[in-house]
Amino acid sequence: MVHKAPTSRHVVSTIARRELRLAWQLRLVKILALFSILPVLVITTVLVGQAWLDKNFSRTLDWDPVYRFLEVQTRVVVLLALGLGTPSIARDRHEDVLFLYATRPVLPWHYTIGKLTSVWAPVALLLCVPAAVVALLQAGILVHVTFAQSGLMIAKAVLVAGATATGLAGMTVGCSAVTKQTRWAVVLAIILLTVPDGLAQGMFGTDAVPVGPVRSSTFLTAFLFNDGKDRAMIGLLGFGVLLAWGLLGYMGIHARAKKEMIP
Amino acid sequence: MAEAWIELENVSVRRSGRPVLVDISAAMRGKAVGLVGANGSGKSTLIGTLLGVLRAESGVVRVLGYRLPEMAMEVRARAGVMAEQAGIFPGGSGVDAVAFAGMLSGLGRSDALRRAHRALDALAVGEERYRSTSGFSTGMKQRCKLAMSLVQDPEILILDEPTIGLDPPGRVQLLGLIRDLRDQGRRILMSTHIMADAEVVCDEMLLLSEGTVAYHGTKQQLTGSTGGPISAEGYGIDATFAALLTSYGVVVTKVRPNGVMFVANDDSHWRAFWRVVAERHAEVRSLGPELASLEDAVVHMMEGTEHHGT
Repeated sequence: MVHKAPTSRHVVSTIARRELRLAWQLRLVKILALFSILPVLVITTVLVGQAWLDKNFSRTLDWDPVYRFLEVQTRVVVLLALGLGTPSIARDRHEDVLFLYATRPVLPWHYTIGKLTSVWAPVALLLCVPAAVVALLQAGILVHVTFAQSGLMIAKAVLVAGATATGLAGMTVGCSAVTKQTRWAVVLAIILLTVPDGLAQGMFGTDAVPVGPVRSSTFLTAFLFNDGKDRAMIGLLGFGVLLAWGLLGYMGIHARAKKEMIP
Repeated sequence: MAEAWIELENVSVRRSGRPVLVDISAAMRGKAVGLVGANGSGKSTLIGTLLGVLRAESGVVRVLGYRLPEMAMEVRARAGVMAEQAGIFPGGSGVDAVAFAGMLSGLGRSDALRRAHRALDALAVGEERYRSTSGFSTGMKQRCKLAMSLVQDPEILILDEPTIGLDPPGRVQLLGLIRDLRDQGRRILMSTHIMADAEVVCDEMLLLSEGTVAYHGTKQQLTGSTGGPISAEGYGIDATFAALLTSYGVVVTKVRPNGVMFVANDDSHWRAFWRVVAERHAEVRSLGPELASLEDAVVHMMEGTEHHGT
C-alpha cells in the first residue's frame, strides 16, 4: 500500500514524462527531434573546416558558430514545441480527464507545471546542450578561443535556451488550454507565432519591438552573441517578452485546470 | 459500533452562489455506503467535497479521520476514485493509463506497471490492455477505470455510477468484483441511480434530496421503514377476512390464500384489524410491514421529502 501523499516533484515529473512519452509516439515529433540534430552536425563540420583553415592558411571565418547554431536551432525547436505542446491539454479536455487528476494527489499547479515542463525541458535541452558542445569544441580546436570564453558562451546559451523554452512552452501549451481540439490549438499557436510580429514589422519596420517568442529569442540571441551593447534594450525586451509568454501560458493553463478539476 | 470513516457535521456547500448541500450531517460506518438521490441532489458535489476539491462553506468534513480540505492530499493518496464523468487518461494503452494513475498516487514507474498488470488481471482484462484506450468498448473502459482506482491499493473506494453503460452480463460481473473488494475489507462509497446495484453492494444508504439528507441508515432500516402495507398471515386470514376488513374502512392491497396485505395508517385501522381477527377466530402467525424493494423505499422516501418540502 502507498497511502502517503507523493511529493510535488514526483507528481510534476510524472505528468511531464508521460507527455513526453506520448509525444515520442508521434512520427512527426520523432522526425523533428532527429532533424534538430542536423544543425549541430552542420555547425560542427564548418567548425572543423574553420580549424583546418586556421591551421594551414592562418585564416579565420568571421562568424560565431554558437550564435549561428542558436539562430537556426530556434526555428527547428519552434516546430518541435508546436508538436509537443499543442495536443497536451486539448487532449485531456477532449477526454474529460481533468477531474481525474483531481481525484489523485494532484493540484492545479502540479498539472500546469508538469505540462509546461514537457515542452520546456526538451526545447531547452535541444538548444542548450548542442550549443554547449559547439562552444566546447570551439575551445578545443580553435587556437584563438579559450575555455573561459567558451564557458561564457555556454552561460549565454543557457540563458537563451531557458528563456526561449519558457516562451515557447507558455505559448504552445497555453493555446492547448484554450480549445478541446488539437488542430485548433495548432492554428492558434501558428497565428500567435506569426501574426503579431508580422503586424509589428509591417507597421514599424524591421526594428519593431518583438512581440512573439521567435523574434524575441532572435533579438536576445543577437544581443548576447552578436551585436552587443547597441542592441541591449531590444535584447532585454526580447527576454522580457519570452518570460511574459511563459507567465501568460502558466496563468491560462492554471485557470483552466482550476476551473475543470472539479466534478 | 464500527468507527466512522466519513464524517459530515453540518456541512453546507455552495456552487456558483447556489446552495447545493445544506447543513448535512452523517457519520458513515458501513463497509459499503450507497449514495443515492435524483439528478442535482448534490451527489457529485458531496464526492468533490470528500476529495477536498470543493470547499465546504461551513461545517466539518472528515474522511478516514483527515479533515478536509486541509488534508486533501492525504485523503486522495488513500482513495481510489472511479469518476462517472471522467474518461481514461488518453493517448496510451490501457495498462499505460492504469500505471500512470498509480504513479500520480506516488508509485514508482516499475512498481506502478507491476500493480497495473495485477489490477487488470484481477478485473479479467486480457491482451486488450495493450490496445489504445481510444478503441475500448464501454465495458472495457469501465474495467479500466476501476483498475485505475485500484492500482495503488487504496483504503477506500469512491465509485460514481460504476455500472453505467454496461450490458447486463458486464454489470453483474462488475458488481461481483466490487462486492469482492468490499469483502476484502475496502470501504466503498458508491453513488448510483440504479437501486439494484446498491441493493447488491451496499449495507448503508445515504439518500440526498435537494441538498439535504433524506435518509441515512442501514439498508434494512430503509426497506422496512416505508410506511407501506402490513402483511398478515395465518389461519382464517382469507378473502372473507379481507372483505370484512374493507367494510371497516381499511384499505386491503392484496389477498393471498392464507394472508392479506393492508394499509394501517392509524390506530383505528389496527383496531379494525384485531376486531376482524376476533370475529373470524383467526390465528395470526405473522404480522409486520411488508419489506419494500430498495427502489420502492427510495422512491417513497424521495416522494415524502418532496411533499414535505412543498
